Amino acid sequence: MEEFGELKGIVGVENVVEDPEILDNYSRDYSFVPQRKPMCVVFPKDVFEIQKIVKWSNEQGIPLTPISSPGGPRLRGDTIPSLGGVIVNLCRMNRILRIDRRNKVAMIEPGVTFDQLRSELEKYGLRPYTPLLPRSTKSVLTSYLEREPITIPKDHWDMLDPLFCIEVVFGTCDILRTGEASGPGTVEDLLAAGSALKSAMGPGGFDPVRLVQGAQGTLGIVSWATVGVGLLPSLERLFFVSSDSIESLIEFAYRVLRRRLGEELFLVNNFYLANMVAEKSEEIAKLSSDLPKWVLILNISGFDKFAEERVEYQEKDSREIAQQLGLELQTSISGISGDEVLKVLRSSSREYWKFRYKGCCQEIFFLTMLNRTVNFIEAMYKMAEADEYPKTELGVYIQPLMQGVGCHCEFDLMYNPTDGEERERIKGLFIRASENLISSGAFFSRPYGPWADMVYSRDAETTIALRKVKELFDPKGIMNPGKLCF
Amino acid sequence: MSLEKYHVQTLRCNRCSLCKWVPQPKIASWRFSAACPSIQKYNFHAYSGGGRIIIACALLENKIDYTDELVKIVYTCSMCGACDVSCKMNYGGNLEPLEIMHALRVKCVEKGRIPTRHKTLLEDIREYDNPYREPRKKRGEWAEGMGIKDLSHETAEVLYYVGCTSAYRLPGLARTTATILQNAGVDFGILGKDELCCASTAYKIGDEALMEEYAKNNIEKFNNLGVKEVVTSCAGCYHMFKSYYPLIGEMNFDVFHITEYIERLMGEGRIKLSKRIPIKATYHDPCHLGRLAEPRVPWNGVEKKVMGQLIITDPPKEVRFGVKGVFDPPRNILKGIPGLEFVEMERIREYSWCCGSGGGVKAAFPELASFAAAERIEEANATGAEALVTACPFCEINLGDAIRERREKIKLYDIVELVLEAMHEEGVKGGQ
Amino acid sequence: MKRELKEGNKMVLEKKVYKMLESVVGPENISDDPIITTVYSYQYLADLANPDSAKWMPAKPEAVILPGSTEEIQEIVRICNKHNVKIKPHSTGWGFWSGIVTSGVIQMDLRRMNRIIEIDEKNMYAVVEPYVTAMQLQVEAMKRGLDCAIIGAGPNHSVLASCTAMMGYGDKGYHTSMNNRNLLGVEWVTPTGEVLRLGSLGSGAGWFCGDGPGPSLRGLLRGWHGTMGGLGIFTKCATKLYPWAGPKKPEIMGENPQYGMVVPENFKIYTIYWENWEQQADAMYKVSESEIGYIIWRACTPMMIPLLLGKTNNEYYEMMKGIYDMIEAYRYYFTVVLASESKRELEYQEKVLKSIVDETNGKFFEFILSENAPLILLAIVTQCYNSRIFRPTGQFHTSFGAATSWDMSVKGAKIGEQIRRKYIEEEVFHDDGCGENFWGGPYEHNKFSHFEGLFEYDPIDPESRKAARKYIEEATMAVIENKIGVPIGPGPELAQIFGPIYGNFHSWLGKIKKSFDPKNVSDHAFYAAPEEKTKD
Repeated sequence: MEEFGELKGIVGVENVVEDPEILDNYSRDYSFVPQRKPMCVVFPKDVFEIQKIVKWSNEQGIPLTPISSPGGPRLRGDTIPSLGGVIVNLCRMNRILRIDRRNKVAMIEPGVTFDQLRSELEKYGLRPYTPLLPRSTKSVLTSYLEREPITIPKDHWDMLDPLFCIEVVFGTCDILRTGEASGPGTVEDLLAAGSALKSAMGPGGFDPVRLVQGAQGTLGIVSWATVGVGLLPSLERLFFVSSDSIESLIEFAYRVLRRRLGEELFLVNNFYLANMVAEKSEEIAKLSSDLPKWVLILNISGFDKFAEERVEYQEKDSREIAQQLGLELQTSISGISGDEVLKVLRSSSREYWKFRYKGCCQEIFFLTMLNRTVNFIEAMYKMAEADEYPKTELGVYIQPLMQGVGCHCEFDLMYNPTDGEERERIKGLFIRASENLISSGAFFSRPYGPWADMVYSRDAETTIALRKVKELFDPKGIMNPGKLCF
Repeated sequence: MSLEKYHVQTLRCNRCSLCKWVPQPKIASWRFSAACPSIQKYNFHAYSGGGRIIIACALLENKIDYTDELVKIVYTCSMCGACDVSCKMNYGGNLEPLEIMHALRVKCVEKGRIPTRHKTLLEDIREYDNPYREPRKKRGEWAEGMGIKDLSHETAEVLYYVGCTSAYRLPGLARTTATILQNAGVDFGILGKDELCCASTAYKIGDEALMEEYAKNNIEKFNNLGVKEVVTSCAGCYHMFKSYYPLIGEMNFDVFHITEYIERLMGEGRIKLSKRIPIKATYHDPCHLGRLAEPRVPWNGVEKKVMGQLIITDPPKEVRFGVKGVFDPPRNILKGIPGLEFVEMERIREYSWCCGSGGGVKAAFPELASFAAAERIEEANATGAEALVTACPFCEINLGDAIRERREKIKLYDIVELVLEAMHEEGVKGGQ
Repeated sequence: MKRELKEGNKMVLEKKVYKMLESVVGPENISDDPIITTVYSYQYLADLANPDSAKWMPAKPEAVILPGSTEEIQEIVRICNKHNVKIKPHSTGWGFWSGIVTSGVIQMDLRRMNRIIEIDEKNMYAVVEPYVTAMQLQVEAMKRGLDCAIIGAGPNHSVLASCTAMMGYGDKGYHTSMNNRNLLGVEWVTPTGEVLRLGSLGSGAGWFCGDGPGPSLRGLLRGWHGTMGGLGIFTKCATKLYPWAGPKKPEIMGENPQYGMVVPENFKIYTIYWENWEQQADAMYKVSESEIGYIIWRACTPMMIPLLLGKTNNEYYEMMKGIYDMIEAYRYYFTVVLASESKRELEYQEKVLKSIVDETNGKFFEFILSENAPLILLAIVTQCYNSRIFRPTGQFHTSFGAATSWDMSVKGAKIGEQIRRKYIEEEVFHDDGCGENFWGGPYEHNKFSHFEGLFEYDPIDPESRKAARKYIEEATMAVIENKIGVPIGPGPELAQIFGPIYGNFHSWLGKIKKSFDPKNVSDHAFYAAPEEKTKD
């Protein structure tokens, strides 16, 4: 189309895609968000091209939807161009710009995946903070912008973590670097002066990085970020703590979190763990039935100095806590060893693991506090039962966050995406359960798709305030419209 | 020192509000963290120690005038010194809130701008030698029938100085104290109707001239008696004798509070506390016996700067941190009573919460006095104690009023009542 | 740089508006009496707003109002919007950012809102109103095995203010972070009088999370510093708490002014020094990376020890004379406090610490610790002695202090020392024996750090006061020139200067201000003026 002549001038002809088949792939994902085809896909290579695209979009009144992950499956609907427009695909921007071992920070572009970052960081004795088993095509930057929960709660001090500074092009076409990266001078100037570009606060009296995080691309497009990274352990010992009662595991989690013991720490039910570990559907089912109802994973690690001693004392202290609660630290469970799970945690497969069981998975997730998960779990099981969804196929995952102040609580519904009727049933359960959970006090902090209306209709003042923010940073409403409350 | 001489100090307040709280490390709960009854009741910053320092500064710089509001703010303060203690924890002698507030009151008196009720009090002291407008001849009536030496024409080793409040308002307290001294075989006498006010009230209101007049008079009188020791059961009088009188004239006698004296007599075996008193009791540190009783060391030096801008005093000035008052003797006495379970409140010793009656507050601002006392009763109740013990007649009156008004169950004692009881003697029964 | 402040509306509060406000809070909670209002115009650092005075702000409030609830505040804000009256709220009101610089503003003193609403022991957070101080929260939190962040001002600061509207870092940042990062749910009366509840609170899910749904509105109210009263009033907030390994009721010994905290058996305090910044920095990084320790902190030893041990300036002076020549040898140090509920963890931490010290050529510094450990522990855990920094000269101020990496912090200290030297030589500052007198440490196990350059001056002395302003200008320019992060310094004229250098933030703040406060009811003196234009 003629109107893309300008876009082609910005990014190059080869970086504007209009192929209908490709556009069709962008028009939908595995969520229940209605399909909508984009007009084209553009692939910018740097922030200046992004800025020009945003300028063009403002002039033309054609919306933009940014995407960073180089591939799917996409589950949340945030990358479907709900009002049409142009997809800005950032995967050409896939450089790891900098790694600073001393300050444990990496600077990455949007298209960098966890696998890519992991293998590069290893050379420095570092590793990325990851959500639980991200797909191999997942963008690190997107994961952090979306506040996906990382698996090491001890190192998750604040909801912003592990995100530090970003460079963002707002819908106004302004480019802003946040936090310590804001100035003075260019990034090169700052790096030459010795800055590690870590401190996320500001500039001045606001935190634009917090406004952009969670915005689902509705305020601006991020061109790079500095992110915190962790040390690569030299020794790891993964333990299972299991119980038929989740309450005792929650209490164990509270005590271990308070002591800051271990690295990875999360709770799953048998079905969820089976999905993580087993590769085929039948294996998943079998393993799930063998496993105890609830399992807490605690990975204790040592790093360089006195690694053995660290693991030793943490293991002993954890065992004592377990003992006080009538629990036990086990190195294997139902035939799975801790090492096996560690291997799973550290690797990624091309096939998305949540799709192994039935071909598709619909997640319901929200934030709450550990001691409130019990009620939500009970409610979810009841709702599943009422909808004749098999209890044995409901995945539950609880990820403590902010060092134990809150947690991510997730329910996974498995279904066959090619079975239209099943899809509709799951959709119905998804909607009803989500509404019920929200009414019961679950905090849907990441309101994808249908959650947006549910959430914002209950909080008018926040909605009004967010719309003011939108007006400031994207007055013409060209950034991913139709998402959140915009 | 005149208010003008404090101008520099008034510019050193850094508005940190430490004066509103007990010394930070001594805060043991949210509930009982406040130090200042005035700011707790009135809330505007002007009502804090720091606020009054700022007022002093503003007056000196002609930013404000001696209005009714100013008078009210200056005098809705029991001059308890809690702000002074907390401020000095970190600021040492750089500024002295209590001294500044006192100088402010002196200025108000000079200007004739004080509460009407206080004017009356000063007049009464002049007229009657006591602030209660009671006839002089009745001052010694509490001692009738006790056979106590009259030092107007007899001699003794020790003068028992009773004080206006005990003499006219709590005669039982005086009788109990005297009985204890008699039973301990102390050679003591009283001045009876010849006893004059210690002028604490005059001083607190800011009439330094009146205080000096009485102080000189009393010092001369006591010196002339030839006594070696002066013992008083009034904390207010005690603090005047210890902290102000030595600046006025030479005192040829030692001064003791009755609790110090009893503790000494216990040590000498002259008082034995043998009767069980099985109660759970807590102790209220009177300001005048505690932090305000710290002696003053006269200083006529200067401030100078060294090491650039470091402010020091030359010669070094002794800073009063409020810790050299009488804290342990009452506690040792209570702990020495068989069967008595002693528990502490949170705000004690140099950071004790004021009962609210001092500084002329009880007379002129009874609602503030009542507020402060009620707070103290609540704090006492929070310990689970059945009894609240104090060692100051003024505290006793005000706390007693609050207990009655609020119909509290806690029993109030002056420490001498419990001592006499524990001595196996027929004493005045405690409580209200 | 000069603080050129614009004159505000020269208005006197209309009687009828006063009466309306009075009907909201009651006559005992509002006053326009000149005695009352004058007292509120005296402030710490007023000399920076008013060069001709040590302590008096350029203006005083039209009236002072003391609301007792969120509902009262809403009503007040609505009245002020209707009648074009500006409001400047403060919590404890300590510091000139609490005060008023132009006429036409009423001071809202939040003293009556002083409750700890909730402490959730399990989930480790507390909900507080504006007038709850850090000390009050700390003692209540400790009863539950928890601790809170305390900023460098000392524990008499408002928890809510340091989380929302203000700024501040503290000695325990290694473990308790800084309050920008500890903020969870917030209840916020906007400048137009609506109540905005941030995060999980707005969704009816409780206080535990301040971010979302979607974008985090926490990003609006707080960055490097907060709104300084320029964008509505925060009436409640939740703040993250941290595990406390000490006793539920620490034993406080001593008497005024020298108190101490009896060192629990499971605590160890070390002071370690090195020969230069580089060795100290290496050790800082290694210790932080090992994640051992409860507190790691560096204040200027030569000054801090006499300040702690000396009850008065005279005592301080005598001690300083005694150690002045030793200062250089001990300057590159930090204090480490190890604490754990677990004996084996404590042993492990000690082993690691000693190994790192050895590896980096550090030495343990024993002499002050032997009998002074309780005083030092109390000083660090509660920071109750921090405001002694005022004592030497009557006032201090700070410089540098950006949140950055420790290496950059050290760079700042080296530069700061050079600038400071001449002011010491000219005797307009106190010669505190510290080349740089930088105070700071790592946060969140050295995720970032801060290091601020303290200086003590006498604001009553015009020369010293003038020197302070000059030094701050020089230090600020040095931070900018050497690119050591965003320096300390709120206020619109500072926003105008820093904004263009740091992402035009002044312009963004101005737009936020215009959007959320169309009538400019919240006094913007320390925030940003509405519709600020970008400097070319």
